Amino acid sequence: MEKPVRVVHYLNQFFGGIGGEERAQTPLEVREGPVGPGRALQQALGTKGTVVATLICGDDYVAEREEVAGPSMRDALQRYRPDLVIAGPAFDSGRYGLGCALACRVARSLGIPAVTGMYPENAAVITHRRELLAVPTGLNTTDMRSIVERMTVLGLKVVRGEPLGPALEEGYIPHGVRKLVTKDRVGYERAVEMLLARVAGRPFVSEILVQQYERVTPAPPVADLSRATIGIVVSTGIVPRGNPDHLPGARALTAGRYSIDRLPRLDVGDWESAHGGFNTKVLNTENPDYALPLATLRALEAEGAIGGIYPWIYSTVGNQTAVGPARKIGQLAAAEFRDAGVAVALQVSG
Amino acid sequence: MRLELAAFPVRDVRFGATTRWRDGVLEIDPDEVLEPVRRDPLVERAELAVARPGESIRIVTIQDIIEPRVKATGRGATYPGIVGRPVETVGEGRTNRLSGFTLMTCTPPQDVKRYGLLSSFRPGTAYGDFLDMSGPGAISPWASTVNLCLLVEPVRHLDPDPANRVVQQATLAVQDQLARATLAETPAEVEVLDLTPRPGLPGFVYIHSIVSPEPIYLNPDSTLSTAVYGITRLTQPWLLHPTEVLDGAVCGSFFSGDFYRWFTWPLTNSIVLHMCRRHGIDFNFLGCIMVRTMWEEQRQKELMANRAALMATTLGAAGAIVTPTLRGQRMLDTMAVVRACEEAGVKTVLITEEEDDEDGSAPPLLVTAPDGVGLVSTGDGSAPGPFPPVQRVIGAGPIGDHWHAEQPAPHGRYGTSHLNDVWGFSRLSCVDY
Repeated sequence: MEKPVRVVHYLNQFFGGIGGEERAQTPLEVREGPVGPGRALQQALGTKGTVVATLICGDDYVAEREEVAGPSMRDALQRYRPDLVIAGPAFDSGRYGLGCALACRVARSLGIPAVTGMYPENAAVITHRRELLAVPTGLNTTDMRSIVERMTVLGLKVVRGEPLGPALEEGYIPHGVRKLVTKDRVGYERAVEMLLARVAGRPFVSEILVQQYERVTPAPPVADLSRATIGIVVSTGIVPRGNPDHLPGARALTAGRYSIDRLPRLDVGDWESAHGGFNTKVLNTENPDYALPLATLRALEAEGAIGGIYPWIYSTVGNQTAVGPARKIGQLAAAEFRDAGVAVALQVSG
Repeated sequence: MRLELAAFPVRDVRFGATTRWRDGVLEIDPDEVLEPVRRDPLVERAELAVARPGESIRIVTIQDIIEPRVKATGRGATYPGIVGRPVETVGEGRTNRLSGFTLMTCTPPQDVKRYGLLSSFRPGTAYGDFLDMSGPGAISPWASTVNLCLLVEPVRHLDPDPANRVVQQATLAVQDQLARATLAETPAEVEVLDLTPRPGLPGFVYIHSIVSPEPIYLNPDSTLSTAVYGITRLTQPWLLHPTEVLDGAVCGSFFSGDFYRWFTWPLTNSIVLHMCRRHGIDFNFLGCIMVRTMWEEQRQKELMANRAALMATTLGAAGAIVTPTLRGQRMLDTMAVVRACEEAGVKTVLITEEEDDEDGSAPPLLVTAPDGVGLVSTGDGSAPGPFPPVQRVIGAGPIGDHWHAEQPAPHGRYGTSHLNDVWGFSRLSCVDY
């Protein structure tokens, strides 16, 4: 018989029996053996494992003081040297979820496998999706026993070093990583079956479930445009004629930074578009201003409608551009604009 | 409408002194078949080559893939409208098909610089625009068909569009002769596709996006994309009977600027055929709606989506299978169709390729699908690799030696797809980890 797996369990102050919301500021405490839901965990482990200790921390404390709670967890885990950390389940509680996520992340940093459980839309999943191995739960805490059993099965599998299959098969919340597979049937057969199920009201599982997009909070409105400097950033591929930086027509990884200082307009003799995703004939033989409206901005500047135009532009080709490089280009332009006091970024997309 | 599809399966191809189909063997007289092609003064060179399943062959420079079909009875001509063919409504009577066989046209890549466009793509990028007939890379449907490769080189001074017309003309001249070889023969099987609705079944439509080349090439008569009865311009949605699609009423590959997307075979041989076969059993197949994409304003995209949804509800559809063609801005048009259908009460399933997930840091779709929509993933365009070296490479024009060597696994991303499968004809997919 194999040696029992040493398990450390993480709970918040409520499930750890310390108290309700009034005790949410409780710093990390360590108890020997299982506490509360830890008894269900011990039952699920049976002879395969032992809950050697329980870490309990207040929800507010862990969510607001990660820089203190994290090292405390680290000390405790180093002391008990578990083979596995089980955290929660946290259901839809955001702060508890963050606490579970922190316990898992600290464990991982020590090379200890960790499994948690929470509602798939818990804020901790949204924030730490890539790092968490989490069993999906509903909102109902009376499902505790079955959730703990699923966490245990998954945890023991990871401890044994077995590779995990797809999220749906193994029963964990997707990490947002997609992998190529070969299915038993071709796509159009699966599509017809799925549509038949949808129309008949039968359950079906969509093949693309996680659609994570960044939420961008818009900057507050500009109070007075006549005093604002406008910065220009384009994905229309406008470059000095000859394309000195060899900006590609598709899948750009970088942006060019070019001076438009004191230029009244973009002259077709001096500028062109390197974009490969739309027809650039008009830009490249008549007027590149269509893709970077400098003449119009100069007119607005002359009549005092805008305060000024920042003398450097950023230009890339927005054609098959990956998200990562696009984000970097945006951050580069945004940092320079912010440092230079630019109030408005005019973006022309292409 | 009722269409009989008479199958003449092709087990093997032999070059010989005559052109005929007999007991699963297609005998081809190359001189006879190529005569009308070589007679064209705009054709510099035309050759034939055969690629069979299991052979150590890699096919490159593919312009389009079609299954030869001919009308045995009924109006019109297969693949109607393009390069001057009649525009009579097809889809009735009997159509003979050389099943298990394709005509693969190969032609050297065209040069878009002639249109005033700058060179478009980063050099050194692998597009995965090749097909292997054997080995672990033989994952396409065409690795299990006998393929006759028609290698056509138009004269060099032509612009991409007239060059493409020459190639299409050559393809159809050859396909007509091959398919006609079945006319005096007895088919191995006749499938009757009678799409009369059966009571008590839900009605389904198929809605496909087709990219218009008009805004790209500034030419309303461009041949450089998929045509509906020969028309490629940016028009409002088309309603077609499914059997018209099986007769090739929607055909032609899309030329993206430096390579072709092979769109003809998937339209006649994948989802529409499958839905025709399931008609009357699981659902009533009410029609195919072809929505042109490349509209430049959001309101135009929404208008076209609304028209497509109205066609679907007018036909009485309860459900729709929706497919995009190209990703990028075309995906906005396609998702607008999904949204409009859902709002009109037509339940949809979208078959689509995914975006590169950039190791989990990027979303799988360019635009979010409405809640509850069924999504079928055909992968991200990548393919398991590497593709081992091959003994023989078939392609048109100068072909680099590198094609004989091992090819790396293509990294899937927008613009790079080994199969460009938006119809779900392959078994590739992506799953969450």
